[in-house]
Amino acid sequence: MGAFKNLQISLQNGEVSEEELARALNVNLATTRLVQLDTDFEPHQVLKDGNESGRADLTKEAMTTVLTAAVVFLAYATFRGKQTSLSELAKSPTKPPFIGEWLITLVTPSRKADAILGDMEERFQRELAERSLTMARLLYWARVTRSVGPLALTSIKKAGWIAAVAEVFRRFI
Amino acid sequence: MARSGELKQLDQWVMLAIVRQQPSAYGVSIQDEIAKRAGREFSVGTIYAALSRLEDEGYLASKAGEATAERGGRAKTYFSITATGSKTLSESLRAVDQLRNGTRFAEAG
Repeated sequence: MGAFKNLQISLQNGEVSEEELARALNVNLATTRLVQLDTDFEPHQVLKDGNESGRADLTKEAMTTVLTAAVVFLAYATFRGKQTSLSELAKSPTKPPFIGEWLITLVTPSRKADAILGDMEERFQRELAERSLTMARLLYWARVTRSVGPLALTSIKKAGWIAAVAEVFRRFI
Repeated sequence: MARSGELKQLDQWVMLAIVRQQPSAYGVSIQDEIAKRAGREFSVGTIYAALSRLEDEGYLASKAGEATAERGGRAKTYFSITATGSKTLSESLRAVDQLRNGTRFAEAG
């Protein structure tokens, strides 16, 4: 107790530095400054508060580390995700619209679907070589629109209404 | 609607396009041949509807071909005309010729 008071007086007189006092009390600098201001402060309180502050600091540090790791991980995952989607995007212009293909598959007997989709993709690729992507896609959609009717009608004629609808349900729903 | 054994104009065109391109006639080439010779652009769906009908009638036969990257790895289906198909097509065209003979359309084309 006496030693603490002496240290406090020495600090006030400028005989010891804040760092020296902090080292002597085994607390951080901010606590030392509080001790300097509060003359009634007891050393056990300082040590207790110092320990609590240290624990709080540790918790904060741990939380910061965890958060940083989470942010880094998320950033990495996002970056990876973007990389994947970018590479997919780079490929996707050379592929016909997915929904168009799906529509054709929906109304085509499965044994013919590959041949029809292959023919439509071949046309798409030819148009892509000659025209813009937008135009190639527009023409693809025009072909899909013109083809869905005759193909659906053929399926219905072959199998009948109920069987054709049942086939659509069986495949996609 | 054409009865069984009868060929519609599109059926005739499709069969003639196949004959012209045998043995490598498939959807796109048939479509191109009709567009080039007859000046009509039919959709893939219309062409395949006709091909499917003619195959069911026994006028055409199909076999799976090679898959190419241009087609997204999907195989072509090659069509060829059968003996029955050939006979039916000949009769159908002869009927048109006989109807045309002696008219002002006889020397057309």
